Amino acid sequence: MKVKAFLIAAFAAVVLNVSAATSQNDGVITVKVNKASKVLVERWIEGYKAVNPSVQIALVSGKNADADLTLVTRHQEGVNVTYVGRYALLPVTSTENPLLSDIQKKEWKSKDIKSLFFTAEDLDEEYEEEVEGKKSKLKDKLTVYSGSGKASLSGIFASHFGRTIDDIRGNRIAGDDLYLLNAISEDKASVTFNALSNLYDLSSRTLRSELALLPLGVKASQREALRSGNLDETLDLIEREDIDLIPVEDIGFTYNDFDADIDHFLQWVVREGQQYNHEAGFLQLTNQEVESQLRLLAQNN
Amino acid sequence: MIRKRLFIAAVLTVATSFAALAQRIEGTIVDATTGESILGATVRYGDGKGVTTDIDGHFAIDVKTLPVKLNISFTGYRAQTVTVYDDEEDINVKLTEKRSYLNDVVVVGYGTQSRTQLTGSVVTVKSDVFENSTASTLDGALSGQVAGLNVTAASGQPGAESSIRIRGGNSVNASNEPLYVVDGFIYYKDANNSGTGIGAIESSLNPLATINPNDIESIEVLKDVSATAIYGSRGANGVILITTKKGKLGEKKAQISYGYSLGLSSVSKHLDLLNASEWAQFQKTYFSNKGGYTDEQIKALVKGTDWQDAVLRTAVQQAHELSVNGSTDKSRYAFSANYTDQDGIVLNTGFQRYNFHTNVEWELQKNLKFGINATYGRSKQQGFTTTEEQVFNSSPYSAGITNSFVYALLMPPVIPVYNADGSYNFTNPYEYAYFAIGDHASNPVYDLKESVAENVNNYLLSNVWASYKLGDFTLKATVGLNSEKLTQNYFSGAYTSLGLATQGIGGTGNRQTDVWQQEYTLSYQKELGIHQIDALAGYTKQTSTSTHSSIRTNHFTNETLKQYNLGDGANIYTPQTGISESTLNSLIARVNYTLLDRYNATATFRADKSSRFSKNHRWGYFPSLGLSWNVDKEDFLSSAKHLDYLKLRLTGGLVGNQEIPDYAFSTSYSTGSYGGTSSYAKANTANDNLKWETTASYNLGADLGLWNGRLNVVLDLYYKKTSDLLLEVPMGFASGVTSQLQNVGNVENKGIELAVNGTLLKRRHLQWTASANLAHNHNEITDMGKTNNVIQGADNQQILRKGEALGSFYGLQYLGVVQNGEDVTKLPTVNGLTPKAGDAKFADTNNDGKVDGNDRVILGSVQPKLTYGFSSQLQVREWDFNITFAGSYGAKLYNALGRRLEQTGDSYNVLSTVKDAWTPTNGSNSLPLASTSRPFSYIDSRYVQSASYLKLRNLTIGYRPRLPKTFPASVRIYATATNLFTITPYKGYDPEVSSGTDNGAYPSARTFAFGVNITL
Repeated sequence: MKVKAFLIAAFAAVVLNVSAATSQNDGVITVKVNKASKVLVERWIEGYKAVNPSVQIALVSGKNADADLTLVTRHQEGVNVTYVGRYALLPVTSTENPLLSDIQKKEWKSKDIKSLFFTAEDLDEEYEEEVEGKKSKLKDKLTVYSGSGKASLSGIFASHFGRTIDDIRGNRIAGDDLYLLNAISEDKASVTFNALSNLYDLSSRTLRSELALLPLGVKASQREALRSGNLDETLDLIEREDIDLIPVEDIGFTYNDFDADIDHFLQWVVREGQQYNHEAGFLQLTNQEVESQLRLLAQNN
Repeated sequence: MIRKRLFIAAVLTVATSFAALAQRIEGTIVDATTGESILGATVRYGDGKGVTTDIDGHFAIDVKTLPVKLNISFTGYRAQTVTVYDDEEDINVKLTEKRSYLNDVVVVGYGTQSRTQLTGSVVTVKSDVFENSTASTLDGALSGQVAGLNVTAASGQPGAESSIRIRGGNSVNASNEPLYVVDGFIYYKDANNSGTGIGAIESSLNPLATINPNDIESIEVLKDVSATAIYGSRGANGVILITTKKGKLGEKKAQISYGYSLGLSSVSKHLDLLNASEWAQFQKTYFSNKGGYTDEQIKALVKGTDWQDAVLRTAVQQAHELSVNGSTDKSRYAFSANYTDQDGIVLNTGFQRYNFHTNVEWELQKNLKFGINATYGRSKQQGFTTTEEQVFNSSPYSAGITNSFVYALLMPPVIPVYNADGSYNFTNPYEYAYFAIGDHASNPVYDLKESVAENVNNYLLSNVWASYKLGDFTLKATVGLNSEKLTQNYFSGAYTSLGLATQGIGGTGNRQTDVWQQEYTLSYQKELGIHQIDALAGYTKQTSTSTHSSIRTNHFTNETLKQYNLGDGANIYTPQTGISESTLNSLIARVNYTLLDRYNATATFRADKSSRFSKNHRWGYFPSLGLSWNVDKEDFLSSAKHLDYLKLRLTGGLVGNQEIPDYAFSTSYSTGSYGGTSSYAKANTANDNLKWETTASYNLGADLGLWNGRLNVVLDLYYKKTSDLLLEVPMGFASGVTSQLQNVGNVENKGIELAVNGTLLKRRHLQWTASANLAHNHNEITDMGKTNNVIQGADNQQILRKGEALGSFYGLQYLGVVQNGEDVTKLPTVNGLTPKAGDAKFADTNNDGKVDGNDRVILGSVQPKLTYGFSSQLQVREWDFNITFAGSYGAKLYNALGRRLEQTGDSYNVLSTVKDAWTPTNGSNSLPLASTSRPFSYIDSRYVQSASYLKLRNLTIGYRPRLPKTFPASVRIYATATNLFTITPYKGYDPEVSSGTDNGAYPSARTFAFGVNITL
């Protein structure tokens, strides 16, 4: 019975996905998302449909999928884009990391994070690491995991610290950044970074039990919020204060064809949809950003 | 909500079902720096399974489950591990190169080679050298960059050619210039077919003016025979391989760059000449005081006219560069356009160039590539007319008045440039020898402004190629045409120095040169365990046709249209036309073999059949063998952790030289007119034995790298012996000609070269590098056959003599001035007379009691004992600094201009050094008592002067402002100074005069320029 139900469900899902992927402007708005943003976009769709029940919005995914709206996780040049939220990245390790106590003893300042995650600023130091095999420091005992795909936020993390994705030390993964957490759970003596939406349990609003944040070298009041392990306190803190050690970047929807349905949906997300951002682990747009995005949308009409 | 659950269930089901099936993972491996695909990278996964990437860097593997760990590696790159969790995106892995000198891929003849496998002496010059230079031709930027490569400018004339010598000169009458190869295709410039036959124009256009330095990605200088033998008959003087910029594969977004520079140039040195008061006093003291000046009037004259300043100016130069590079999935492209406008520092001189270059490559099918390289351009050079052909009223040229610039230096400072009404002054009572007819004398400012002496070259350098890869074999065919049309225009009106005697003279000449080349090669590359083989075989053919025509007329009644109305000239010189054709068929072969990545061997063979030699001597065979040993890879050095590499190289082989005029082996006649009818005169007499000049060359070298690229050292010792020298041998009257080209004698070059480059600071935002090179070359004629002691030059100043260097100076040894009270009876006689106080003293080297031509000795040569260069680059965040010095020690230069300007008389101005000439009250030894006559026409040691120098060639400061991320371009602004200073004992304008005789060469300039580069 279970097998039969699964097969029917699978068939239905495939049909839904295929039809969503192939439909363009036939009354259904298709939206392409990555795993990390899926919950947020689903919240928006639910909220929007609650006030616009006649609108059909379908999620699509997959590397070849085409959609009316595509969620992007960084600033875009030369395309139509409306920014709809923000996210923050934090460095993290596994609670089972044998070096956890050493990690937590430190206050990780900017230079420490750069030293841990990136190839050496001083090329001589890099040479010593490579050729002479010096592995005395904590950083030398930790493996860094980062993403390699276009959708990975590794590039955002690197550019925040003035470096490029190619400068990140250690091993790479291919796949959604969510899998970076899998990687550090398998290779315990390792570190990575990830978006709050992946790091925190959205139901309990607390840091996932198998993860430990790297203690950042921030002001005492800020440290308190980060240490609390509470998602909402962390979101409030990052929205309230500009913390140099925490990369923050916009997310947005890109689109090629702009019509009234898309316009209404995007306006709603910019105005009303912000209320769902925290729930999904994302930061809200600032008031200034809301105004500027609405202004840009108005220019499209 | 139900739908969501259904969706999750479906995803789970599909995932579960697919887990049992094979899953395809695809990706691409590229170079992190260049973005270019990496062919042959290994991707290992699972239990040791592996695939390698294809030509696009692409790989595909099938796995049963995810995640899967991929280990990606490629020689010379840091390995990378990628764990694949899902296949939603293709995997794009960027591998970072391990920084090491030996990872370099070096361009060699007909291919590329890893530096680890190289056996020859090859030096790479990167594009930043050209980016930091404002030189309009690449030779200007090469000076001081490569040990053993000596660049000497012909003059400071914009667009003028340079003499480039790699490890000294081998030949006397054949060309000593290296061979240029642009993007793998020979850029053949026939040194013997460069003018149009019109004469009267002093400078010639630099053949390298067809290549815009900013199009250059890198230059490889092939110095030893292992590297050059593949070019056989044209490899004897070294080979310069030029690689132009290409679009980078994988860089889909077109890179658009624009650059603009604006500079001001002024003369880098003024000669110190007498001013009006000094000159008038000099005339009154020693000569006839033609001006009739009283002492009061002389004092009042003061500075008078500074004719040197009058013909010099601050010149403006500017350049625009636009380039577009990029690639698509199956092609890459580069396009550039350049406009250079460089005014000369002498009136009415300059250089302009338009240049368009494109380089496109397509992958038509999986293994089939096709490409086009083309450069089209036009360069124009305005220079000096020369008095070389003036024979009226004796020859001003042989008297040292070679052009209007020199004439300006000689002008008496009491003569004004302009009359009171602003018109040109053509009155000069002091001129009676050369440039005056009646009351009418020349005015060099007018000469320069109104005369025409221009070279205009329209050129197309083009080739198309196709290559097909068939397993380990690659077939390549290239066909190309280099077509150049040179037009030379010349006009000197009736009021100019050159047109004075003929009431104006003008002419125009054209030369059309077409060089067709075909190359067909088959190459094979294979790695068989510990063996690596790279083999090449091919056939090439070059066909050159050059036609020329020129016409000159004189006696003009209307000069308005100058050379564009030659029909106005009443007298017509015999028109000159001609054609010259040559072919060169060649077979080439090369095998590179590497064992254990340690032991390398390169065997090369080329057979050339040249139409330039007599029938029985047309084939020349040029083999070479090179061996190298990567000593650092031996076990006994494995513990030397600071040693990056240590390589020993040994090479030997034969190369040739065929750069002689066409038909030099056969009898030929030149046409002229005699008594109103056409006439023929014998120009050459046949030499059935004329054959190749060959150079046997041996090189022992070592490459050493320490501390991860911190220090790199290259040391080379070489020996070259050129046999069967192509030499113009004087002939007896019976032959009907004065000389004939014969294979006579040998020349040897041996030397040592050292190049060191180091990284002094190597931080991410602070990098400081420095490089230095030093070369010593000993050049000697070791055999002259029966024709020893061939004296050359307008002043008989040079000699070819066994045991001496090429370009040796020959003259009397100056000993000073006979002083009052000196015992003159002990002095050798001069022209049968006993010297008296105030006369010059010369060494009686043969102790026969008299000074004459037999006392002339070798006074040095044009060959420097040492050439050196030093450069340093500093990068501090957004700032960059570059400094380049170049120097030469031990060469001599005949300062004919200085000799002319120290010859006292009642017509011309002189250098201020004559103020220290001997007088009864001034016991000077520098110059004898002022007189209009010289005891000898021979040159003496005073004027063979040291041409040693140290020049600050280039100083550049650049800044790349940090711009907002939203700003669509990167910007670099820079300021650069060229020839900021020269330290030299040479007394003329500049110690760099490639001919070895400074007849009043165009003076060199100091340039300050500012520029901006914008890249989108």
